[in-house]
Amino acid sequence: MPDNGVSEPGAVRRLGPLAGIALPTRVEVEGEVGILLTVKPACSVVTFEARRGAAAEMAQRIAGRFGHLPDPGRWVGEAVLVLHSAPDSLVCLAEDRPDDDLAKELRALLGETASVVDNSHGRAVIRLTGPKARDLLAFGTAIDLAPEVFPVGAGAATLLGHIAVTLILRDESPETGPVFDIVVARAFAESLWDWLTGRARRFGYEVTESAG
Amino acid sequence: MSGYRLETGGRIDRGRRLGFTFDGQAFAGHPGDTLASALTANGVRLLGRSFKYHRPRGLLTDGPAEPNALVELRGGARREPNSRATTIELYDGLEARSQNAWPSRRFDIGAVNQLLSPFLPAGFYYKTFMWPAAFWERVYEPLIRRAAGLGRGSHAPDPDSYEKGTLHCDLLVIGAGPSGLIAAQAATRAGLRVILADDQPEAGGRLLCRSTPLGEQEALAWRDDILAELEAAPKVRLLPRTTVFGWYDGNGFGALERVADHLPVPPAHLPRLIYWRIQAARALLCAGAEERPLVFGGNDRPGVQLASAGQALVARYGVAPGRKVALFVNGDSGYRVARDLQAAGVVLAGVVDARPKVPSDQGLECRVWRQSVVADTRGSLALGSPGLRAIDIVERAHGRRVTLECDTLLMSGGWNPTLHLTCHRGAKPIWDEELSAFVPSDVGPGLRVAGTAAGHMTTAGCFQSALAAVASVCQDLDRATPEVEAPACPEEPYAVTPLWWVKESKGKAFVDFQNDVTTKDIPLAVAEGYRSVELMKRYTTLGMATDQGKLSNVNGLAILAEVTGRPIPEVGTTTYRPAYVPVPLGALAGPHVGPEYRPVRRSPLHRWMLRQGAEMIEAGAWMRPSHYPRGGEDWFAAMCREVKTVRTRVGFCDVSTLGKIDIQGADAAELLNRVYCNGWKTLPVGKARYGLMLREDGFVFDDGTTSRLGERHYLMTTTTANAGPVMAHLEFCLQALWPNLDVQVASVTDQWGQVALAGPQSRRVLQRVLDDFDVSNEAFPFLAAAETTVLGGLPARLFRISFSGELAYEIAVPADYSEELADALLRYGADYGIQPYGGEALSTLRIEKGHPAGGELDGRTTAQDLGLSKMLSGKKDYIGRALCRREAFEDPERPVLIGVKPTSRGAKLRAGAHLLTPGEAPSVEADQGFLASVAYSPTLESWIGLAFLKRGRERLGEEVTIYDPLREGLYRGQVCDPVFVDPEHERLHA
Repeated sequence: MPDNGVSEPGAVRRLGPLAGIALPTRVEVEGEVGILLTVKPACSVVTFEARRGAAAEMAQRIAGRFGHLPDPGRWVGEAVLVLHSAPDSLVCLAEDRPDDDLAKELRALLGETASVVDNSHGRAVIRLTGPKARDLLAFGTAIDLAPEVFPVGAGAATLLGHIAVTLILRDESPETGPVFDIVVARAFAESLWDWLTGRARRFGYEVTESAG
Repeated sequence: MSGYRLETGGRIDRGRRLGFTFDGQAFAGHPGDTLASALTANGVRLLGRSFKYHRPRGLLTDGPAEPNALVELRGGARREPNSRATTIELYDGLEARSQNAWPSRRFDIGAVNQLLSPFLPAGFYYKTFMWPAAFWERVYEPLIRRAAGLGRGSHAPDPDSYEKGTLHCDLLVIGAGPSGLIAAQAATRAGLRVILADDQPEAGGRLLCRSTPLGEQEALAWRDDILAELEAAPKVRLLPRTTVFGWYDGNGFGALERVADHLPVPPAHLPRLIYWRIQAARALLCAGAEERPLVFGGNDRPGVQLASAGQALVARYGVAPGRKVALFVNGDSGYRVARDLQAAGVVLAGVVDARPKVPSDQGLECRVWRQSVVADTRGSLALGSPGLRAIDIVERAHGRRVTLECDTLLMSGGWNPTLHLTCHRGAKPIWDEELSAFVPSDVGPGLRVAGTAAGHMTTAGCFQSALAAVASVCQDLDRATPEVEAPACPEEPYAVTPLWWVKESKGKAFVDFQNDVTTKDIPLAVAEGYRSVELMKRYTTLGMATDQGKLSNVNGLAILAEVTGRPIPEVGTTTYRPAYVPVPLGALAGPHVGPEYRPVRRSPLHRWMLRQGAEMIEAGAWMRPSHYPRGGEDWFAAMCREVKTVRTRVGFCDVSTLGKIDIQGADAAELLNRVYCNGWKTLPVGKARYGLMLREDGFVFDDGTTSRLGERHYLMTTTTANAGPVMAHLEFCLQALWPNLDVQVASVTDQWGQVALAGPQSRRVLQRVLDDFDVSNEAFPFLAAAETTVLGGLPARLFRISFSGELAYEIAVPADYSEELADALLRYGADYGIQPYGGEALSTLRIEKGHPAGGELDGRTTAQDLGLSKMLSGKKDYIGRALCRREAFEDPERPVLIGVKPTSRGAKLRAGAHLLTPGEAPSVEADQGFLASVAYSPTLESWIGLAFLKRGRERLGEEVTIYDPLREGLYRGQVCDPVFVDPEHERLHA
């Protein structure tokens, strides 16, 4: 197992923005832990925007690969997730892909229909779960995260503690509670981490290493 | 001594004792007490002194409207002034002190103001302290503040933490009294997402004081059934100890949750307060009503309080308000209080009813005076215990004045619906003759009002109005109206006959207790011309300060109406504004204080730089290295060493913070042509170019290099400070100005870790880092750009650009590899003496080279000022073109960029100093320009500066006077070319 956020392909160290920061820890409140945090190392994050006049063609190619183009503010996919994040703009997330691999795949898929930008090193992805995850996020975001409004399959650009993030609800079950992925610009990752743990201590929290 | 603890009753835990102190004296109470009830139970009734006359004051209310019992709560850094004793839940070890009294609340020297009161009418300060004007700030105001002052803050850092957050619901129910409870129950059964907020620790509202059952059940059993149902419902959130204090646009509400104020100290993991912004599809105000005081002589004496407060003392806290209690009423509701007190064993002295006709079967054992008023009160003669001893009753039928012994007088002047929230967005309430009170106007479906807050004075009416409101909400939100049956309630008489002031009174009759406004002040305001209710308020201060006129407003404007001979609706009311109760600033700031004030941006090399010993400083949101001290070096020595290293050998610095914008699309070059003032159509693939961006008004906006990475792919760099604004500017251009352009932009600032490698040996070091890429001057000349690989296959972008003026490159790698690159540069450059350099050296290097940066690109300079007018293309249109050729911009007298060197020995230049023609006396008219950026140049061994000077380029070689009035500098300098080092630019091209 590599350290949290650190992997070593060959001799070259890859140091994620939260390497050495998001260390495993457990902080209980009255014996309980309401929040679980994990940093997902070396995620691939690729954005793309349709070229002028090519949105329909781009949508077709996305549908061909992912089944359908997700509605605005919604995502589809499993190993590779695609979120319709802005008009004619989407963001793709994947784990365990070599450098540039996802960007190459998307460039091949989309061709001249979209401009592709790889931000895999420019973003940190933090997974937030636990029964109190929504209560924690209510201290940051102004958007309504109730399951009937923001179900599994939803994603939104919002703010957490003055920091711009993309918030995605990946999964939800009675056992895990809601499973959120938070995508944040690398430079703000440590500030966001401080904000998250600062709020998480109200509920008790545990930081674990990514299983991925 | 007057109040005492009853043998039974109250919602307190008699099995546990809580110790507390008031003005240093130790007392005990029980869990469930407020500070007010516990003090009353201990016989304490003098709780503080009034604001202006320093009159002794006791408890008036049982809630947040309390104007008298304001105390300093807690000690040390947690000391909080103006805390209302009626809302402070007792905890073990509580410390409170009275306010406005010196040396003590019993012997207060300020009380001499009472004797001076004929000379201290409303407006006294305005009239007296007018002359001389200069005295106001330095003498009068501090004196008045010391004399008045409502408590003292701690002046120490706040040790507690605060949160703020957002909640969403279908229906926000404000108030958990009978109306709020039944409304929440109905809404829950309709499947709505409900928030039920209540300011008390325990739900129930006036049910907590109710002695009669609801239907078949005790009132609190009915409440408990509903609470159990609400707690079991998944979409209901109960917010106890939460005051909804404001109603805002978009049907948003502000609420203050007191998470830990009932505890001695908040638990480490909890915030003290939470400021909630509640977005509600619909809201229902069930805030009840506030009882009105009666206005008569000596109505502020300790022992005179509202009937509802006396009832609450008995029912909620098991405390008798006094040993002999009289009531003064003008309506039916006071009789219920009298019966409750009688049932609890409290001795009643009598009931004084102003009405000719009083209820027939009151069930009271005491005497009832009808058509009578309390005209004055009499206090104890004992010094230091100024409580109530007796009241003077005027029997109006015979004009007879009699004295009645009592130690407590409960007054009931009618009820004011708590409708404040409905007025927060501009609506005015409506006068209701039957209730003699304002009732809320219709403010739309977003906020409905039910129960007593809507003027329904019986419990049955409250239930009915609450259920009707929920039915309307269900209709709005397309839900079926649920089945909820309200319990049957007996008839409750509530008739009231207004009694605004007792004219038979001889003593001071207070309208506003907190501001010491008497019945004499309102006619005075009118006599002085302040007839409008808003002006009367400001002249007399009626309705100001922490209680915001909750008790005094209606009495005050009714008296104003009478004095001015107008009906009350014509006089109207003052404006109710948020917040309904005082909100601590800490709650509004939330966690964003101190280092958490705003988020910090960190470079991917942040930790690497720390390990290299960098001193980090804030640069906007970023943390950047200032310098890398070695041994005992100060910043100056480190900067000089780092500059020399770059000029003679090789150094590198982190430039990851520069803004990087990926630009793709068929019209990418066209976009660049329109946003930069210089041309871009001829830039080939593999080349970089310096670009200058203007604002629409023609001033310089930003600069940086843009490289062409592919046929339709460019990479723009911006200054660190303007990365966000430039990105927003490009998005605005593409979305609003030229939506037809095929261009896609995306920020890649965070994707790349980037370093500038500079110095005569930089090429040699770089060549070792690169995998297989020729960077000879021929293969990779100045302003070349390429995508390649480093360190055995890491993707990299390479640019030959220079900020320092040396042979230099910028190398970018995906950010996770930044430390690999930095370590490799140290390793491969070791034998050339490579060193990292920080922002101080970077700044010196660019000033030596005359490159404009922050000090020169300050939003007030033009391309012409900077000597860059050649960049203003004449062949194309671009943003700023129309206005950058304005007459004023072409004025030859405009200060332009030049260099300055001091000629006085040992003179140190300072940015901001002004330039004068030698011999001219300093004046605004004689001003010739100013120093924008300065540095000590280790290369020239002299201070140097970049300055803006009128006709500067014609004055090279001339002397100027450098005048620095702030730091007392006056010395000589010489005007020179702004490029101090390598003016032929040979090193760039080496």
